[in-house]
Amino acid sequence: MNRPPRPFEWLAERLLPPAHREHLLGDLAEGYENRRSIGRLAAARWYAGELLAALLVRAGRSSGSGRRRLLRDAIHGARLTVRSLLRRPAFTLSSVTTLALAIGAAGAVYAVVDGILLRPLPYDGADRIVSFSELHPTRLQEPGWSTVPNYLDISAATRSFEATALFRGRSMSITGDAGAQYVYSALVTDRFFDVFGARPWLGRPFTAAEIRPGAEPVAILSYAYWRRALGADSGVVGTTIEANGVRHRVVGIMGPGFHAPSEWIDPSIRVDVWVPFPVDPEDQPRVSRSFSMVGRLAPGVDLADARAETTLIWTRLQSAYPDADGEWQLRLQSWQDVVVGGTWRPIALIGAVMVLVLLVSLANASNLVLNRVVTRRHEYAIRSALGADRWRLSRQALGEALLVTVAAGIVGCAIAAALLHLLRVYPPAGVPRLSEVTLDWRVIAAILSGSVLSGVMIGAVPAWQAARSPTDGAIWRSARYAGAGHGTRRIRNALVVGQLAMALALFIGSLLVARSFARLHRVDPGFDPRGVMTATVALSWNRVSDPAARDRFMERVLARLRSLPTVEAAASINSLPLSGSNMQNTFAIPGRTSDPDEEPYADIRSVSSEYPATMGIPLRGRDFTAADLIRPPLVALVNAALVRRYFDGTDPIGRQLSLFGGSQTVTIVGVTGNVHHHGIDVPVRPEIYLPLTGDPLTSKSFVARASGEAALLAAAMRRVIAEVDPDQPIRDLGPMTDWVRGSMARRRFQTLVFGLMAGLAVVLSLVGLVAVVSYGVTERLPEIGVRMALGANRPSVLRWVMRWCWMLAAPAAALGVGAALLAGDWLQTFLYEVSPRDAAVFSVSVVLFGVLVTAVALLPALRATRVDPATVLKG
Amino acid sequence: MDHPNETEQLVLLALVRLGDDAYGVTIGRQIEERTGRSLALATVYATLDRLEARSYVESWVSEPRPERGGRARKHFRITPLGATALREAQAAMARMWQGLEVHPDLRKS
Repeated sequence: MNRPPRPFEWLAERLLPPAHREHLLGDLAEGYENRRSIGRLAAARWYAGELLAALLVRAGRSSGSGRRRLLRDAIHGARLTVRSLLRRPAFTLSSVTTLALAIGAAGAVYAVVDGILLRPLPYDGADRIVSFSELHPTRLQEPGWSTVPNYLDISAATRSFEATALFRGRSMSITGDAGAQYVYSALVTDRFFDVFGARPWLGRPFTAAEIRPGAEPVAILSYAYWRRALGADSGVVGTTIEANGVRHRVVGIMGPGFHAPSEWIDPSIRVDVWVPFPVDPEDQPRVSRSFSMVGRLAPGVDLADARAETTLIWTRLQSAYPDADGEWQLRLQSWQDVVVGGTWRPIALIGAVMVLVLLVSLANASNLVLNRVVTRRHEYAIRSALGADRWRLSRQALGEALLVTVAAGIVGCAIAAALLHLLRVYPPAGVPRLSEVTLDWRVIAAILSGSVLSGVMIGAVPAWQAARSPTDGAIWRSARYAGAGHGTRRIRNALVVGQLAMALALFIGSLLVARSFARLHRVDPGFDPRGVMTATVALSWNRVSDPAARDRFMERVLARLRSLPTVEAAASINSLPLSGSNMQNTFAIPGRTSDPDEEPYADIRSVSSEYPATMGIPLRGRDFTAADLIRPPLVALVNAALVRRYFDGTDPIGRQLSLFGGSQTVTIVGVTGNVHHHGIDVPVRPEIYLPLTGDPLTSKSFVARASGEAALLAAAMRRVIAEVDPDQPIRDLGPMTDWVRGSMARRRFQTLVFGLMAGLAVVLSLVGLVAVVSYGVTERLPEIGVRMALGANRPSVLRWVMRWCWMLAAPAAALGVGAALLAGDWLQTFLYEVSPRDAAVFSVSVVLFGVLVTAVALLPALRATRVDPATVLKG
Repeated sequence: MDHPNETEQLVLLALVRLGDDAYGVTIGRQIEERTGRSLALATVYATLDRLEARSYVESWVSEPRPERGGRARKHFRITPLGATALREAQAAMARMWQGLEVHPDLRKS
């Protein structure tokens, strides 16, 4: 005879209702045999159809009105589930709350990952935008810098790009009826908007003629600025605005939302004005890497093709200009990588932490649901005996889990929304695209489908347990004795051990991060920020182009500041420590033969006199005097790091430095202490301070040390600057301590997130432990009663329960420590001067973990000792 | 005594026709041959379940048979109560039909 296909029979044996399984299987075999004469395929199809019908009939348990019955059943089941959940508000509330917290936090993290890392940047053909970087193997260089001549040469030679452009960011003050206004602007070449796939919404882009030096000044405005400052007047195109003291004719308005290249310059700003980048092929040093080059891939060309082509071009440039380009490498990266690449690691860390917390809370919820199934085993046994099929019982267990997780998912959406709101209100420093992080339908769909999936995950084990709920003896034994089987207990224990282990690993991680943050707090920044007020201005174009006028402005502001009775000292600098602003260059020490591969390199700062005194920076030798403020400067201060690195620790005072390719020679008159200019956690680099004259940076900061509270100086500084020049906007005004705080914001944020997550995980896992042990105690009350009746005293019962907790905690501790050790290398990058295997942190964590476990284990343990044997045994 | 519904009547009539040879496969085939309606085996069994619960049918299990993969047949037979119910249903229908001639275009008038 012909047997039906094995997989079909295998399925049928498991899916058919037990009451008819034998006969139906027989009928199916016979029917299949009969239909074999028509064809094997037809017979198989018939068999499958019969199987499906059997399932539907079983689910609906009716023939004619199957679907209606199914729906009615589902509603009935849901009502039963809701009622049974409401009967145990504590269980329901704790499950929903813990899960909602975890799901909400996970949803927020997903939104961040989606908004920052996954979603393409908001440009047409964003994946075709490529950034060019010239990188040096030994010098510290960030990606994204290029030179004008290389831009011109590469653009002329390449066939891989349909457009290339050069840009740089610049602060700008726009003067008008409403007073001076500070805006961010970008100098861009003519094809810039083509690279970003955008065209002005009104008007036109720049022409090639407009980027030549000496062309009529023109500007393109952002939609936001046009609405904000110009009242959305469409007659603006063709009129002029005064930017940096020069009248610019407005030729276009960009569309809403276009602010490129803000995301590259500084994620927290919005570029509002674009002006032509004056490209003069004759007058650009090949070594000045202060501009950014981007390109748009031609259709059909991918990044690899473009890399291959530009490598050839670059090799030609290197042999043509060995001095300028010989040691440099050209790197092409997608614009998106350059913009968000640096955020990948921290976000991945938070994501990984989040997944752990979610797993802990899922394990927790699964355990709670499982406990309920076991508690209700008696009820299931009776219902099963009365004719409820197991399918129905497991459906209820699964339904309960789903209802809990979906409710948690809905609350979780609200929590995610609140967390994202917090993130926007208190943005961690330096995170790009935060404004694009929203709780849109994609995130909501992800959260809700995640919670359904969670429901299936945590409901699967209990449902399976309910389905095989034994009728054998469960009724016969009284409900009190109907305990969990070994299998169930093993699963529950494994869940608790896993939870505790993950929580301990997170706890260790968060302590490491917290310890590194504390270390950071103790780092001496190299200056004393207390009592120092800062004001940063972006000098107007006309003052920059007229050095005498600019120096006069700086001098007059400083003189007025110093005359204030509340000011002890005042000074100015071109790039304030920790502000992110910097300028660096090579230099030479006459008479010192330096390694040709390692040309001396230093950060160059321009400062007025009194700068070290105002900032509280130690100084050996003499400060600049008014007589030093001449062009070109003749004297310089250097920091201790430079002395150690390039003078081998010998006294450099009186020695000379050759700067700017030998065009200037200065004499060292003093040595300053080391200042953490680039971040409290970034090593100090060699620094040269020059008198503040002829400095090309437009941004200048005033610093003033108050005799009292620094905050009181804010209004005075604002007034003084306005008195000297009412058209000069102030960009930043705030105490120096804010800059110090700001530089630690990222670490503070990491510490906070890590700490919160670890705290949540620890609480959840301890709740899980208590639940399992409490349940176990309840389950064994009769046993405890018997033991006590036979002479066991309370301490021995206490020891018994505690030992049990420890049996769960000990493997968890081993696993947790192991996991934390394994994650160490990865955590390294987030730690400052703390080893990821820090013995102190590990031992403190394990001890604290032990104390916590013992403390919470006491709750069920003490309950066990209060058992009255008589009550228990009487039943 | 409640009236068997249409599917139940079909199954009961098939039982009467088949006599001692009534089991899942033959019942299904009988109904399909005479009415053109094909009922899934599971539907047949679900219907028989309901009928058995009302004592309209009774069942017994045969010896295992090789052509069924070594599985037994479950045979069904109509009970006197079932027969009465079937007659009742038929009579009720007959009373509804009495003196009527139904044409497809009747609803027009």
